[in-house]
Amino acid sequence: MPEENLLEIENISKSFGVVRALKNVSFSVQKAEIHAILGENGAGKSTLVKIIKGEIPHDSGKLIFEGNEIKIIDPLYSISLGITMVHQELTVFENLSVAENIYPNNVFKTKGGFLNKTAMIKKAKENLLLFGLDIDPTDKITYLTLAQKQIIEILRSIALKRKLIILDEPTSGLNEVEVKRLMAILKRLKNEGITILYISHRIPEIIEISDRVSVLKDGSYVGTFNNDETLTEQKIINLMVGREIDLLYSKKSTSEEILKEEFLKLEGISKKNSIQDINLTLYKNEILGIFGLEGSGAEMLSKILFGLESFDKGVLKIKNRQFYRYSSEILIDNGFVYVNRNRKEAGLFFDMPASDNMAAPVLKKFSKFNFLNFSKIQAYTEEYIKRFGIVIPGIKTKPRNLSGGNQQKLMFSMCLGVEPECVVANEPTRGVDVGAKAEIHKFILELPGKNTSVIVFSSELPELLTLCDRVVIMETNSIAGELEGDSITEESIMAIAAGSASKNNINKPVKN
Amino acid sequence: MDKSINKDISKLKNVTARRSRNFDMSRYSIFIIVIATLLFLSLSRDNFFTYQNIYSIFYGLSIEFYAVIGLTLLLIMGEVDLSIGSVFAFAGIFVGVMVLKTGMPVWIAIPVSLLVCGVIGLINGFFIIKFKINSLMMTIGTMILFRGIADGLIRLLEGVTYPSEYRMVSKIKIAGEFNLTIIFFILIIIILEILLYYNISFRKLYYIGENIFSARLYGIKTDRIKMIIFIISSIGAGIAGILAASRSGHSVHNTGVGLEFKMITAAVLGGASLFGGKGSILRSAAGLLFLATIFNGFVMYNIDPVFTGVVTGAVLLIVIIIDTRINREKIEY
Repeated sequence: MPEENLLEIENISKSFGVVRALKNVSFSVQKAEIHAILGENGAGKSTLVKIIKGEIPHDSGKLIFEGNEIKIIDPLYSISLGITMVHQELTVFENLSVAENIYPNNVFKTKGGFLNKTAMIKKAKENLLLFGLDIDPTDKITYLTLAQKQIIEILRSIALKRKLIILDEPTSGLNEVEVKRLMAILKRLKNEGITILYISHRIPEIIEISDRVSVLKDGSYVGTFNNDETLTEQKIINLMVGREIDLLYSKKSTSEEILKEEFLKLEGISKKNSIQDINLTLYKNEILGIFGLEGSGAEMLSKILFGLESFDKGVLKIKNRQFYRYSSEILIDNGFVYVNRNRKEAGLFFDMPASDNMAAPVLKKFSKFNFLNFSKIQAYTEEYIKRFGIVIPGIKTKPRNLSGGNQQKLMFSMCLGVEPECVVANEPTRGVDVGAKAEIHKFILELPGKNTSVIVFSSELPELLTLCDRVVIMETNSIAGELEGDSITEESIMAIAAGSASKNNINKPVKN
Repeated sequence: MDKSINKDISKLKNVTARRSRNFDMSRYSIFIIVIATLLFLSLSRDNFFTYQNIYSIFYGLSIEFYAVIGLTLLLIMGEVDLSIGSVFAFAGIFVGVMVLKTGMPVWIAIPVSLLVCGVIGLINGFFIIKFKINSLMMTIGTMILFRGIADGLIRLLEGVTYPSEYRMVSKIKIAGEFNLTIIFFILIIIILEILLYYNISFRKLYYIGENIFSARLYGIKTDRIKMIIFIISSIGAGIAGILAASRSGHSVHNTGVGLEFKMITAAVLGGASLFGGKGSILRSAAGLLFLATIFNGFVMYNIDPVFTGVVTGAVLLIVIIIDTRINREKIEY
């Protein structure tokens, strides 16, 4: 029934440089349905919805909205058509109030054309209560937590009744209760005739809420499926990954006993308005995982741990040497390397040749009297390209022209080239395709055999299960629990991470 | 599977080949422009390509050149120093004041003045690094501050001509033929060019300019390096200012006004980018040579010198638009 289609996506393709993000994607979205888009990181989900929203142009193909082709690529034009979007990254206005953030388009006007603040604040208050948030709408948004900000983002796009609402990973920072409330709101909107495009990698959530599911894999369209009994979690995963999931994630066997020799120890590390009294030990040749939901302080701990942020109280001990203050430089001198979660922001030199990138951490090693030996660097780069299977035209290629997975592998090569004693990896496989992910996991698992201890910060539970000997879980700025060996399961980690409030209903689908 | 990877690689190779060809063009374009200008003036004006004229262009260049060294190194790191024009004026006048008013020997006055210049660089660097002040804003501040101090000092001089010891400094010759400054000019270009290519400490500038956070992650001591280069920039401007004052024999009110923009124009003409990560001393010198040749051409064609500002401004606009076009990947995305 074509007349029921709100949006038709026809043969959409998009490339970034040489990376083909989308390849001939076609499917249609019906009116008043909740349509989920699923895919691994880097499958092209975000690119697709940004194209639909008119934020980036597509290379070829057509978008047909309510029977007319969208020809003007402009986010404001898309809004006028009735398309709105909640971004994966927060786009709040930090210095404006909560109410102003929910209604940035001045919809409340007095007769004289001025802003009707009282009406705006009243309406904002009502909307906040939908999520059970008791916040003063006149508060500045800077003071809210990350989860609260995310709710504000969601409220902003649902507050004005639109025809199509796109939600890109809206629940990444929300807890169980908030997710449950969002689900209820989305269902209500659907009953009011609003169409919702929903992106998430949380499969139970998708099964819970969506009417139909479209799957993308490596930029290609796999298919659209009705959400009925035949759509199981396992089926979705197989569609997304396109191979047996067991290959990718397998629970780490705990046969080898780690020699409990302390390598790194944090004692009572605290920072004002942030993490409190962190005690943590990393043993030699161990892979330690650290997990925490957004706002739990895990992110801050990762920064403090690598000297990127300062701390107020506490001691750091490396092999029994104490440091009351330290910087990244001290850690680097002690054999630490840091794999950043955002390789573009810090990690790679995007516009320098790969060989220059490889040489950056080890300049001293390839020089005599401080003068570089380029042929040595070349051989070294080639060796690592081969060892890590990096798909790259030549050693002079710039990382900008590589795919996400190959960029990540290059960054790993840079870090491992220094033969570190300890690797601190923050989201080591963020934004890479499945194949590269499996390879990076393999490299990390080999590290303890090379006398390297590893700390992995990850928001992906299966990743922690695959890699870690031990997992420390953070909640509300302190360590809430620790799991070891067989006791590490997705459920047990989540139970601790989500706090006592929702310990009992973890991972059970929420029905209402 | 393997075939598709090979296809991807060959596609990638084409793209990078195309890019590297473009890159090479932009690397050498300044030399082509300089040669074209030199040829044009040589062919169209009889008195241009004479030993006397070319020598005087290079002599002037060998003095101003010191102000572009530090600036180029800063631009490589993605920083900028707008105070060099004021420091240039201050250093020369300060030496004059010390020599004339206190009777201090020139060989002491010059190091003292350069030391003060070093302190100016230290102040720039300190605030930029510790308080994370944008280097553009910070050095606009010191630019105005030291312009004021220089203007105050120049009143003490009352237009007096400097003593011959001071005037001799820029005129020391080797083998009775070549000015020492020209010899230094050539030597410094060669040495710095080699260092920038091979030496670890200088290579680090490019890493910092490309991505300072990545650089820090891999143990590059970014703050210390920045501090040193800010100091070098001020001292370099000071040397240029002292030599220029020595050459002209006296200092005037607007000494070095607009010098910073001339130097930025020269460096960006030579391939340095306001976005960091690029730049070379040789090519900055070529950029400076281009500007000097143009101004010389003005004289040859009897064009009113007031138009020099129009030309510098126009050239700066053109190169900055080109720079932004070349580096647009860094801005978008």
